[in-house]
Amino acid sequence: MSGRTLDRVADALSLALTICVALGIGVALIWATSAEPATALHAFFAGPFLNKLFWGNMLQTAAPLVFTGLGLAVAFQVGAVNLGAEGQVYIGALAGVAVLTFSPWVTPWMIPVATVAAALAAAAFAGLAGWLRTRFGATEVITSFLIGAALINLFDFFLRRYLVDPSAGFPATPPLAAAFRLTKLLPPSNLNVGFLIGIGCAVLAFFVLYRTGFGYRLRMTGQNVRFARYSGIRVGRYFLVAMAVSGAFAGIAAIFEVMGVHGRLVTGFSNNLGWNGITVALVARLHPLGVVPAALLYGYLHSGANAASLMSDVSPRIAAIIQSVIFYLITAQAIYVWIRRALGAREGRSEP
Amino acid sequence: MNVLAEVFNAQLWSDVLRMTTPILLLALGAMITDRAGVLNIALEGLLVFGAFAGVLGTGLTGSLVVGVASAMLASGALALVFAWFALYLRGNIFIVGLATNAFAAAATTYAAWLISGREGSLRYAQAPTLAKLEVPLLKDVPFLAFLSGHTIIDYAAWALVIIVAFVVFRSRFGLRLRAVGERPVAARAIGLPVRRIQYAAVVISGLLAGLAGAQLSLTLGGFVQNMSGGRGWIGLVASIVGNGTALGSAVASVLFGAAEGVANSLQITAPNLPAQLLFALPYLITLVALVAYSASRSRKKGVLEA
Repeated sequence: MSGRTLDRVADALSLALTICVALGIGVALIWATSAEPATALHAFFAGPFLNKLFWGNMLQTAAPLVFTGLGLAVAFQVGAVNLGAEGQVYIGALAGVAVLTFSPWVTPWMIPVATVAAALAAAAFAGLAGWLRTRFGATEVITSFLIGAALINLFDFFLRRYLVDPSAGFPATPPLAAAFRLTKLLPPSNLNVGFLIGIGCAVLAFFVLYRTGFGYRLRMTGQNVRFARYSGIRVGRYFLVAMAVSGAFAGIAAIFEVMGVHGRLVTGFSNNLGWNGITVALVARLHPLGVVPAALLYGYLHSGANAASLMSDVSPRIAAIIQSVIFYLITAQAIYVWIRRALGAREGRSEP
Repeated sequence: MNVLAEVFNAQLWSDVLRMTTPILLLALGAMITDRAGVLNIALEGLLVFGAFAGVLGTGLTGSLVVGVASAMLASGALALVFAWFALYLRGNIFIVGLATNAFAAAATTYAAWLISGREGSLRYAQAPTLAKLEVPLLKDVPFLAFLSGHTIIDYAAWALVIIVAFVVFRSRFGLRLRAVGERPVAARAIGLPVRRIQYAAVVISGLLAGLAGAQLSLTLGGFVQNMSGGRGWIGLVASIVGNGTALGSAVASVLFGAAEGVANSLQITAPNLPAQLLFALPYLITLVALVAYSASRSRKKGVLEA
C-alpha cells in the first residue's frame, strides 16, 4: 500500500474504532441499567428496521442533520467554528413561518419563498458572528454561541407574543395550511422530500467545494490561511461566506423540519439540530458526501434509542450519551497516529 | 425618583452579588487555564456536573459539606477527562470542550432519570440548602447591608480572587503556569513539565466550576436541567475581557452578574416586559463587552482582512 492509502485506511479505522467504543459504552450502559437488557438491546439495534414507521422516521431524523452537518462542514473547512447553529435554526424557522403566516397566497409556490427567507435570516446572524471576527477580531467561537443563545430567547419571544395559537395549550403557532406542507414519502412516517433535497445539496456542495476554483480557495483558506493570503485570496471574504453558508443550511434544516414534520412552529422544536450537526460534520471528516452517511448513523442511533425506550425500560437519552462519546473521540489525533504507526510497521515487515 | 429607588435597592444589589458568584468562580478558572494556554470551552459542562453532584451528595448524606465536596470532586474529575482527551489523545480542544458540555448535559439528565424517574430534575425533600450568613455590624450599615446575608461560597469566591491573583502572579507555580502558556516550547526546553502543569490548570478550573455549580444548586435546593444558563460561556468571556487578571475578571464578572441581576429583578418589578427578552440580555451584554474588548485590543491579531 502507498503512504496515502495507509493514511486513509488508518483514518477509516480510527473512525470505526471511535464508533465501536461509543456503541460499546452504550451497550454497557443499557446492560447495567435495564431490567431486561436483551429486549432493550434488540430494540436498540434492530428497532429502526422493524417496520415502515421506524424506518421512515430514522431517515427523517437524518434529514435535517444533512443540512446542518453540510453547513458546519463548510464552516469548518474554512477554519470557522460556528457554535450558534442552534439559534440560527430557530431564527430561520421563525422567518420562514412568518412569511408563510402573512402570505396572502396559499399555494405550494410559497414553499421555496419561505425556504429562502429562512436561509437568509439564519445566514445573516451567522454572518454577523463572522463579521465580528473579520472586522473586530472577536473570536467567532464565542460570539456565535452568544448570538445563538440570544436568538433562541428572541424566537420564544416572537412565538409567544405574535404567532402563538392560544388554543394549542403550549407555545406553538396554528398548524400550517396543507399547501405549505412538504410531500410525505413513506406515510405514516415523517419522511418527506426534504431528505432527497438534502442529498441533492450534499452533491452540490461536494461539486462546489471540490470541483470549482471558489471551493478550492475556500478550502485553501482553512488549510493554510497565510499561504492563502499570500496567494492573493481574500481570506476574510471566504471566511464570511462560509459562515453565512453554514447559517443558511441551518435555516433550511429548520424550515423543512417545520413544513415537513411538525407542521407548525413549536417551542424547542430543534432539539439540538445545530449542535448535533457539528458531530455529523466531524464524523463525515468535513466531506460533503460523508455528511449523508454520518447523518444516517446519527438517525440510526436516535431511532434505536427511541425504539428501545418504547419497547423497553431504557431512556432515549442513551443516544445523547453515546453521541457525546463519539464527540470526545472524533478528533483524537493520537488514536489515528497509533493506528497509522501500527499499519506502517506491519507494512515495513512485509517488505522484502 | 423611581429610578433612584431602583439603583439603591439593597435587594437588587444583593441579587447582583449572588448572580456574580458562579460567573466569578468560572472566570477565575478560565483565567488559570487560559494562562496555561488552554481555552476552556468545557466550563458550561463542568458547571452542570458540579451542580448535579452537589445535589446528589447532599441528598444522599444530608451533609452540605459532603455536597460541596462532591460537586468539586465531580467537576474536577470531569475536567481531568477533558484534559486527557485534549492533551493526551490530542483531540481538538474546542471539540473536546463541546463534547464535555454534551456529555455533562446527557449524563446528568440520564442519572436524574435513573435516580428519581424524572428527566432533567433532581431534588431531595429533606436535603438542607446553603444558609445565608449575616455579617455582624455590616448588616446594619446603610448602603453596605447588601454585602451581608450571602452563603459561604459567595464569600469564598471573593477570597479566591485574592488567592488566585497571588498564586498566578506571585508564586512559583504561577510563574511556571504563565511560562507554559506564553512560550510552551521554551518552557519545555528549560525542563518544565508542560503537560502536567496544563493538567493541573484544567483540574483547578474544574474544582472552581464545581464550587460554582454547588452555589447554583445548593442555594436553590435542587438540580434542574439547563440551570447553568450559559454561565460557563459568560465566565469565559469575563476572563478574556478581564484581560487575563484576577481583578479584571472580577470586575467583568460583576458587570455580567449585574446584567443577570437586573434582568431577574425587572421580571418582578416590570412584569409587562417580556421575560424572553430579559433572558437574552446577559448574552447581549456579554457579546458587546467581548466585541468592544477585541476591537480595542487587537487591530491586527486575529483580524482577517476582507
